[in-house]
Amino acid sequence: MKYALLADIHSNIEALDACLEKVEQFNPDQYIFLGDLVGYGADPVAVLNRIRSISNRVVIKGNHDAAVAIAANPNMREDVRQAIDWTRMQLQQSDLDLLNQLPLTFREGHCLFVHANAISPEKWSYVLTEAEAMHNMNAVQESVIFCGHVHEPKLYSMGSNGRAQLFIPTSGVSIPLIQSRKWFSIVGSVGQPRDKSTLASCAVYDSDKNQLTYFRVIYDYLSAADKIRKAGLPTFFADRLERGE
Amino acid sequence: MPKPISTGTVCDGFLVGEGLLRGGMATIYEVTKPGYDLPMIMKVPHWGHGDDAASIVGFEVEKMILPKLTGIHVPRFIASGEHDTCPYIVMEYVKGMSLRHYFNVAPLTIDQVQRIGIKVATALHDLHQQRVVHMDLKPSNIIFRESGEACLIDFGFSQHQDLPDLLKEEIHEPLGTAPYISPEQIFFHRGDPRSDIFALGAILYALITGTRPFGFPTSVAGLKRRLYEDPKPPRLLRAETPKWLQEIVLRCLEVEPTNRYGSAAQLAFDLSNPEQVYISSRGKKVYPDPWWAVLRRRFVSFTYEPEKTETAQLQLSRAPIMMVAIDIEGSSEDLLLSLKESIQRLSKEKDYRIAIVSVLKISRLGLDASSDEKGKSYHLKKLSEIKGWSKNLQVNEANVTYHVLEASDPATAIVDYIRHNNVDHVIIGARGSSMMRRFLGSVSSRVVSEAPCTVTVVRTPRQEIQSST
Repeated sequence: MKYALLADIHSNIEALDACLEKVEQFNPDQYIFLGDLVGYGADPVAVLNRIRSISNRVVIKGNHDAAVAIAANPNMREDVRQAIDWTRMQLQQSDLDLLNQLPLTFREGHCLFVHANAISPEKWSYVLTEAEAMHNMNAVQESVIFCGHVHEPKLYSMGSNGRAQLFIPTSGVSIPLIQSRKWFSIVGSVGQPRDKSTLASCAVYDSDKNQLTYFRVIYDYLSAADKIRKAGLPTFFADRLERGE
Repeated sequence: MPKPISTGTVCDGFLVGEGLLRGGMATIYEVTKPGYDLPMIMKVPHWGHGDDAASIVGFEVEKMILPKLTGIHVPRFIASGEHDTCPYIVMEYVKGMSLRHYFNVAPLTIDQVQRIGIKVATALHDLHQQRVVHMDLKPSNIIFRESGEACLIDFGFSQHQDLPDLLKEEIHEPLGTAPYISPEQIFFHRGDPRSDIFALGAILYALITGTRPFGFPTSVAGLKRRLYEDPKPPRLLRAETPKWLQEIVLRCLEVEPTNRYGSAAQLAFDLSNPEQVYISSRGKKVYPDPWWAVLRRRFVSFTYEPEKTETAQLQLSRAPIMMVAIDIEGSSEDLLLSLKESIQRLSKEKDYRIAIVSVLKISRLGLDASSDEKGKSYHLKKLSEIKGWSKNLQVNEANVTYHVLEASDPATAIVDYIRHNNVDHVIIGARGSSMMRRFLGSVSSRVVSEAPCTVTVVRTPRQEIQSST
């Protein structure tokens, strides 16, 4: 089974289309959207429609999706909350229902797909350290966990010594996820990259060959940023796209 | 539980044949499978209670890296089996003589050492270009194919810069083989291609002298002696060792990676051009350093911290071999000046090498007189020309070599030279753009289209005007 992995799109249709074009080259059997389809960006409707147009899809709920569908988390920053409220205004009830009904996790074979973390997906806590990745890998049966939430592509692996080790992947180079180890993959963000690069992130995983390939994709971030400003959303989100942080 | 593998068992369609070698970490069997006509071996790790983690991880590392490698200097990967069911790696059976064989009959002739050095350095450069550092280069890990090329095997300690380094977390003692391990590996630094150059230096030293430069230490303290004790100069152990070869070998064995060759291609280049090796005090010394110098270095070694490790890709990009293809007689003064300026602009890296090359055109039948009327060989005349021209280049003389190629077709000769010497960047002048050149095709345009590397074509600002008048 070949999975296309797309996380943290954040209403950025330019980035989503560029990433879809990239992963389509590999003829994926299934598209996995790892949450946070909306929030920050100016094109929530276009993004949801594009995802709906893909038949072989699995969509996981992210914290921004939950906030738009139900209510903004009181802990959210003011500008983030502003973007959530704006997004809710753009969407139809059917869109909100779709977001509300998304599952928190998806399991298939030796893989677990989740937005934030494998231990308590509904709490949205971040996996930022090797120790946190280790706890996640120990908490589940599956040998490979895919998630988003942290907007930087990363790969943690854990061998027989039980310690997790971080690796920053190189775009386009396939990594064999050998079965004697456990793996925790953060696929990076399609629409809000934050590792000082303006390039969108996505990945393809071939579960038969155990090969994971991360990609960085050039897209028209200037147009995406321009739309954010024109929509009256906080300009910080546009600046971020232009700086990649 | 992993399925036991032994002679006669069938694993994923591979029929396990005779055991060829039982090593410390794995057993090697010959295997066959219908549909595969190349000779193959299966490497089966010894796993059981009490096995050390590094050997398990080493097997995982090889399983990750080997499928990524291509070319004649590595065994072809065929298949691998899973950890839980039947862990193995099947690869091409590289038939040929191991360097271990030559090692056992060392000292070798200087010619033999030179030839072996070129072959192994060429194989290493190919590996480094694939972003992999071997980290355990030793005679038994080098096999010469029946066609002559060196093939590197056993990637259990290797590092691929684009894959997770699984061994990083497992190192509690230096990983490598005692006689060949580089100083930085003793301090757990992994992934610098110059570590392999150190190991090759130690191998060449042993092939010249019949003894290992640092013995065979069995403790970490023993390994660290190479930080301050210089090896006896090969010329002391074997008087006929040429200075150029001692220079090359001792440069490989420098403690600081930055003082070694910048790339294995540069090492192969020097071994191929011994008459042009710049001989420093390294090549001239006949005795080891005096005891007080060793003592001073020993004190310094207590606080030794290896410099930051470079990735293979970054280090290779900093150590280019540049070639300047030049035709002094056929070029205008302006073009010659522009060529010099380009060389100066492009030779900013510390580890660059420049080969200044000119082609002596001979007829296809090779019937040219080899001397002009003054009795001076055309070849030497050409060499003098390029050396004379290079006088005020303002680049480090030790990094420059000069070559005259004799050929009927200059463009082909230049492209062959580029391929043979792993040249990274060619600088060539465009002598003009006359109708005739446009019609026949110039040397520079053919080099641009055929060279397997970057080519800078130098033109003078006024060239177009001059050539059209």
